[in-house]
Amino acid sequence: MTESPDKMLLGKILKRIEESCLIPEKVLARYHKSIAEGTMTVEDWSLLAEPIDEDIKEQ
Amino acid sequence: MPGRIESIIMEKFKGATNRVAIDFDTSKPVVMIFGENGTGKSTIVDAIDFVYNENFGSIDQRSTTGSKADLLASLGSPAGNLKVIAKYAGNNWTGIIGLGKKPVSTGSGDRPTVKILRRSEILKIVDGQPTARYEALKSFINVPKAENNENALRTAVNDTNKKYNDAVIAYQQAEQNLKEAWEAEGKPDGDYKRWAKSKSEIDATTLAKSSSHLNSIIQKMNDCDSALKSLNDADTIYKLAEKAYIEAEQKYNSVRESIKGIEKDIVDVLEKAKDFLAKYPTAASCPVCEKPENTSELVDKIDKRLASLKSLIEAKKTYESAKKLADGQEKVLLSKKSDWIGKVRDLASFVNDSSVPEIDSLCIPWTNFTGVLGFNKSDCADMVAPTAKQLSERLLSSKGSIEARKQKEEKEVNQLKLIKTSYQTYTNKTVQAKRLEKQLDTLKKLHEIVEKERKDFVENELGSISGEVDSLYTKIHPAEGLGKVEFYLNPKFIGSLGFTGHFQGTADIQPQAYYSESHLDTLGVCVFLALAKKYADENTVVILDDVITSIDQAHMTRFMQALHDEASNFNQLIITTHYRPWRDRYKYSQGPTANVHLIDLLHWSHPRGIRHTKTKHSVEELIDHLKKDELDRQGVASKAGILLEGVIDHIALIYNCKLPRKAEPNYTLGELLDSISKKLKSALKMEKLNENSERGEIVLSGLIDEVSGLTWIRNQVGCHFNVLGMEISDADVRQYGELTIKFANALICNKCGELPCRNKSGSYWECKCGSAFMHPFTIPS
Repeated sequence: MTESPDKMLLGKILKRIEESCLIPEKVLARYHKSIAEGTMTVEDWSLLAEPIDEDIKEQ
Repeated sequence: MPGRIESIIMEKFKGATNRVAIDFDTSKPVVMIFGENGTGKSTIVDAIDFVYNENFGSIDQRSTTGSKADLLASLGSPAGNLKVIAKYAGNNWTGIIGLGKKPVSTGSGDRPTVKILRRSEILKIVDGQPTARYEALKSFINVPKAENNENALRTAVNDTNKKYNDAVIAYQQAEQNLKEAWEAEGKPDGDYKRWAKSKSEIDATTLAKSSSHLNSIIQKMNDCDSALKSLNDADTIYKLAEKAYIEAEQKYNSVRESIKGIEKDIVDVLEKAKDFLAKYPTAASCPVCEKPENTSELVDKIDKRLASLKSLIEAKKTYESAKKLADGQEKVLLSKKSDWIGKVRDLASFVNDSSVPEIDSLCIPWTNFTGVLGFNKSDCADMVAPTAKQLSERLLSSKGSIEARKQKEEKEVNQLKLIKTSYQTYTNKTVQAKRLEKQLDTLKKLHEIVEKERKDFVENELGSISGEVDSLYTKIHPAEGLGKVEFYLNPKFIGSLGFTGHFQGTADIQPQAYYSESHLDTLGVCVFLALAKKYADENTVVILDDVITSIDQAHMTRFMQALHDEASNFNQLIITTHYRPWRDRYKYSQGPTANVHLIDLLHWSHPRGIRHTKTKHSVEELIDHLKKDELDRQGVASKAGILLEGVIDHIALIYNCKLPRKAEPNYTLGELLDSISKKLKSALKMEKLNENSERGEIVLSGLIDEVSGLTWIRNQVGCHFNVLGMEISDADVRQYGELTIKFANALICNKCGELPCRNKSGSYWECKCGSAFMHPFTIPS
């Protein structure tokens, strides 16, 4: 049986986020499962996108 | 054999007011449910949707109020009583209305993936707004988990954007406050931030304490003022009372002087005697001289004497009252004086040992006021009052300057607090805004990625079926310059799907503007079938619910052929229609060719609910008629004639046989038989593969001649009452029927049940499954 469209799309999205290098690997690793399973919440996304202190210092 | 829906039982479900069971022939891949409007077709489809998809079916697509569960129930029956039991691949699934009035289905084994196309969805696909089109097709490209992620991300972007804006507004407001305060101070330190920082570092505690101390002094001064006011008020009242007392006393004495003798002193004695007699009314003698007396006479006598002394008595009462009031006010005055001295003492004690410049500048000789400073309530207030007055006046003379300093200090404290708060807000919110700006930027980029991937994915998925749609559509509309349909997502709107197509060789037109209704109908069906095929799994059942309203004969043939081709991609294809020509095509014209289970729905009524009859193909009907012990002569002749017409019409169509020109293509059996030329008839033969894949040949010319020779029986016996018809024997009628069945069976594929009608080889016609072949390919020249 072929992979469901949902799973295929979620896989692609995860790959694109990884490739974008927007999120540090270590941080992204914590949300791999939630992104791949489509269970990300508003809070999850907010925490995922929280800047690390170095980013602020650079600004 | 693939899993198929074997049966469905409905109880109190929509139009099924009574329990009704429908069995599907699982040996056939296609089921057609035919019924006039209002016979229950959509009820059956909704029941399948209900039990296998746990949906409300067509009710979901209509504007309704109240509970949808209640609308699923038969009229007058509660939703809790409805039930649908369906059997798929040997396993039963039961659907009921569960908690929260939602459909709940339970069962074991595989549950089919049922994809349903309703007419309303066709309209959405081909003629709806782009958003409605997207919604109609979205269920195929079902990505609910990805949508959940995207929705949460979109909310996170909006939330963070709001937080960022709030933080920016907060620090801008704080910055404005600091600038204004800095400017009001005359722009010290050259920079408002530096100034604000140094100000915010000042400890305002000392200043606040000083301000509070001054406030206490002022409060105590105010207490002194209030106490003095009370004292003055009490003094005024006392003086008035004293004056009234003196006047009353003078009047009383003057009245007494005006009364001669002892009378002026006798009032008291008389009043006491009256009191005595009231207390001892039965006394028989005078308590003083013990002389016998008549008590009641004595009381009257006393009253008369007292009445003659009335002015004296009243003057006495006024005098006593005024005396009492003056005595009371004197006590009040003394108390108020004591209170006031106490307040002066409190104020003096509070300030004499603290360094208050405004007090210090008065140079008060505190030792002169020890009487005030040590004053107790038991002390004689009148003695201390003069020095208390002196001290109070000196202390209260500084009140104005103390108040001015207090206000200045308070203002300073408040300003420091404002600067401190504003500076803290400014610094905190600036940092917060920076973090949020960065976070927002990341979230927006993530959203761009997620949204783009989803759009690309959906567009690719829809794009990927364009070829399939075109292939299907061209099969139904060959050489009409239509098709080449392409879908695209509108980049400006979420969930907006547009599409373009070709029309008469022109590309990129909007089909809904140029295509006819039936062209659009078939386009919608093609899109649906292509999507259903793309996402079909091993349990996919496709239902087309009344999708065609009208279609001409030529297109109908190709449409049916396309449907039967596509049916092999699914476990089962269920079609409902009210379009009689479609049903009749199965039943009569191409009936024998169709591997279809036909179900006719009967007239619906509320008491009886949905009713149906298994409709037989004309071959099966004719066989059944011939099996009867008592031959139905008219029935056999009529059925044989209809069947024969269908088969010969098929041959005439395949070989483009010459027929008289008519407005409506309703040809008689005689005309159809005559259209088969000698050359064609002599060349016609069938080849069929048996169970061992060996070819067997059947020459048709003999069969055609035989059956043609008996067609008059149809006219004499099967069409209308005819006296000559009565002379035809049962054996002849039976022979006519049997020959017709023999002829039809010779052409029908034993395996797929179809008449050969497909040109795959270019040299003969073959059936769908490739087991029956009809020769020649064209009429020999």
